[in-house]
Amino acid sequence: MTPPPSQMDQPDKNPPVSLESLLRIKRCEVPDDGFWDSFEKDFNRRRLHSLVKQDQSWRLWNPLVKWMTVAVPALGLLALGVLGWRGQETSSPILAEVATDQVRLVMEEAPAAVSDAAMSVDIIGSGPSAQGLSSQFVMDAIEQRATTTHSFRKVLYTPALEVPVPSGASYVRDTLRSRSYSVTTADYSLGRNF
Amino acid sequence: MALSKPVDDVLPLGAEADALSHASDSDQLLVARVQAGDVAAFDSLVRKYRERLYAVIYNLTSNREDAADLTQEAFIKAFSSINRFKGNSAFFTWLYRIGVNATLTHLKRNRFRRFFSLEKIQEEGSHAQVLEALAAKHKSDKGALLNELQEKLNEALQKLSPKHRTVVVLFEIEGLSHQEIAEVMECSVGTVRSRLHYAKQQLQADLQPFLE
Repeated sequence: MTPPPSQMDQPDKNPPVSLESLLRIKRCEVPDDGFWDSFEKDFNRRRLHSLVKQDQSWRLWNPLVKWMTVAVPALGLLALGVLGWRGQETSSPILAEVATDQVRLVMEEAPAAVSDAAMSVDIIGSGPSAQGLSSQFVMDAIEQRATTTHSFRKVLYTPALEVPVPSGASYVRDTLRSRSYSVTTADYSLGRNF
Repeated sequence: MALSKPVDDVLPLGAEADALSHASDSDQLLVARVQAGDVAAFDSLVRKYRERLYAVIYNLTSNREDAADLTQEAFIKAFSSINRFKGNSAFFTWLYRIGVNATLTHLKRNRFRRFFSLEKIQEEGSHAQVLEALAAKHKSDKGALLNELQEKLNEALQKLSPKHRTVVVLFEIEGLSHQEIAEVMECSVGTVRSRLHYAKQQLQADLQPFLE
C-alpha cells in the first residue's frame, strides 16, 4: 500500500538539516562595508605606532647599545672589584675618601730603594698656611711594579715645608693624611691627577 | 582548501590546484617584497586576508570588537616578524597561526569576561534553503528564527573549549583541510580529527532542536 501523496512529499519538502549546514550559516555573519574603512584607518595608526616603538626598542637594543648597556656597568663593577681588591692588598681603604688636594707626581723614576721611614720635620715659618698643620712628615718612596698598575703611598707634605728629596726617591703632595693608591700605567705616565 | 574558497564557484576542479599554487606564489612574491622593505606590499596581503582572518577570530570570540582588535594585532605581529617567515609553510597558514594564537591567549586571559557582540547575518546567502526548511519545520517567522539560530550557534560554539572551537571554525566554517589546521595549530592531523569528532558530537547535542 502506497502512502498518500502528501505524506510522500513530506520528507522532500523538509530535508533533515545537518550540523554542517547549520554551521555554514556562520559564514554569513560578516561586517558591513564601512567596517573595513575604519579597520584600515585603525590598523595603519597602530602599525605606525608599532613601527615607532620598534624603532625605539631597536635603538635601545641594537648590538652596540646593548653591549654598552650591559658591558659598561659590568666593566665598572669589575673595575671597582679589582680596585677594592688592590686596596685590600695595600691594607688601606682606597675608595674610602677622595683627596681634596690634587696630588702631583714629582718624580717619575722608580726609586733606587724603598723607604717607609717616617721622620719628624719641623714646620718652617709661621704664616696662615702653616697654622694647624702637623709637624709629622711621612716620607715614602713610590713603589713601582712591573704590572699595568702601580701602588704607592703618598707622603704627607705641607706647602710650607721645604724638604730635600733623597736622590732616586719620589713623593707626592697631599693633605696631611697618608693614603695608598693604585693607578694605571697610563695615568702614571701621563702624570694625571688622581 | 582555504585559498580555493573564493574561486570555488567560478573555477572547475582541475583549475583549483593551479589557482592555489598561483595564490601561494603571489603571496611569496609579496612577502619577499615586504622583507625587502616594501611596506605597501604588506597592505596587499592585509587586504587579501583581512576578511578571512577576521572571520576566524570573530567565530572564535563571538565578539566583533575583540575580533577587529585581535585581527589588527595579528597583522601587526605578522608585519613586525615578517623577516622570520622562511616560507616553510604557506603565508596564510603562518598568518592564521599568529591570529589563532593571539586569540587563544586573549580567550585564556579573559575567560571570565565573555559577552556576545554579533555581526548581522546577511540576508542573501547560502543559508536560505536551510532557513526555509527550519522555518517550515518550526512554523515560525524566518527573521525571528534566524536570530534565535544565530544566538544558539554562538552559544554552542562558546561552550566548546577554545582548541575544539578552533578546529570546528577552521574546518566547518573556514573550510581548511585537516593538514592545514594541523599546521596552524601545530599539532598532528590525528589530534585535529579527534578534536573535530568530539566537538561535533557536543555541537550535535547542543543544537539538537534544530537538527530534528
